[in-house]
Amino acid sequence: MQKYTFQHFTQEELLEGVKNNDSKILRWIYQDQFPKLEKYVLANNGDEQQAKDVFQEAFVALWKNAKTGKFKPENGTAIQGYLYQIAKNKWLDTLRSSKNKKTVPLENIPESWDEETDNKESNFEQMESSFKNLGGNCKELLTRFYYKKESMAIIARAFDWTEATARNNKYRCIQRLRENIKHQKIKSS
Amino acid sequence: MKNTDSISQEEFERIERYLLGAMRPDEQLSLEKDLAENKVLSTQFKKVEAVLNGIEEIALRENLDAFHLEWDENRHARKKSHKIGIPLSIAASFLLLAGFFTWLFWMRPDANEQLFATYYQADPGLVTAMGSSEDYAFDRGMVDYKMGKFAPAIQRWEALLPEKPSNDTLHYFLGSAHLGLKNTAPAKMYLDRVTAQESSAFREDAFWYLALVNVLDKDYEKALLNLKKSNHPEKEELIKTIKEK
Repeated sequence: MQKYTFQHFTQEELLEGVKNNDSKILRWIYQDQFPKLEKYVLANNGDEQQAKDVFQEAFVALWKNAKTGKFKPENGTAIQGYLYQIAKNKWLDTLRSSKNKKTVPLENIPESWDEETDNKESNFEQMESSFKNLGGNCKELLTRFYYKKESMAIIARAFDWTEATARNNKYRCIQRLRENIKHQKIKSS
Repeated sequence: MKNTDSISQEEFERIERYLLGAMRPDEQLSLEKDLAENKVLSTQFKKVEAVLNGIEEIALRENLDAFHLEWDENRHARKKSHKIGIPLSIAASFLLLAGFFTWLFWMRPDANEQLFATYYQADPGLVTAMGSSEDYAFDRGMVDYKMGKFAPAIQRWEALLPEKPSNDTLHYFLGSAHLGLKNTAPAKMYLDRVTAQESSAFREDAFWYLALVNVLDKDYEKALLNLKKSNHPEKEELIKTIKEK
């Protein structure tokens, strides 16, 4: 395997960085790969906004697959190649679906549709809007702990709390978030 | 039947520790056994998993937007510089030539400034969650900071100091913002406060930026000391460069 993908990061470092939400690594991958995908989308009937949307969806897919172990790099540019391939396929899917857009008669929608297909996207949207409605401290606390992987000790210090308070507040924030999600679901049903 | 919407703190933290990989193997096995036998627990597990994954994904998407904004701004800056027309570019060539000689004789940046410029990249900043935040002022400063508007960021953050005099996040970004403006004295003061806090998450990064402050101040001995305490990927390279000077 080619050891270095560029001056600093090996594929292993990039993969670890993606798994651990390392901002420097994520930024580097994003800004290194986006121009290539944008060029492809612009050359294939798309615009800048569509390129951004499709690339970000592909990035999230890479991130999820890296975290769950579904993706393992096999060569020196595997992560970049994988990301580009997902993004390109997503754009081709978009083109295909806009060409072949047909309405589906209600009776043809399978019963499992609501549970399995529609829900993933709408669940995330509900989650996102519920998260945005949390107070600033809750958002910061949850982001620091679950995304930035900061320890309770560090978080407690940042908020001038004790560790026990930070831990209790984290639980309360999660409960509040779950309540918000529940209300969102009731509202949208 | 037990309501799967409510979960005790103890149950929640048990599931959370499993999902974060913080459990001992025997605890893991015990939870897996309980999950197989207890439908309510299994449903709660799925709900907690979805919420924790969702929080991470939301934060990631916010970061992606920030990366995009940053990339887009750089692209516009590059485009602007390419828009100079041909006749203008000839005139510009003369100006550049004249400018080069002026620079060569009077304004040539010192070696320390060149070294600083080679290794300095501002800390990317934190994810901001604007909205009903109680920390609105801090977040607002972070938006300025991320856009390279260091002076207004400093103004906003310094106003928060009386409230949070020992907050390492605040000190770290105040130090970073001052360094962005090459104000070495205040940058050093704030970054020193961060390195003094042994458990600060920013401590090792603060050592790296302190070393860059030292480079700007031509204090290479201190730069070497701070570099040794940093874990920055370029620290060895910078140590070597300084030693070769």
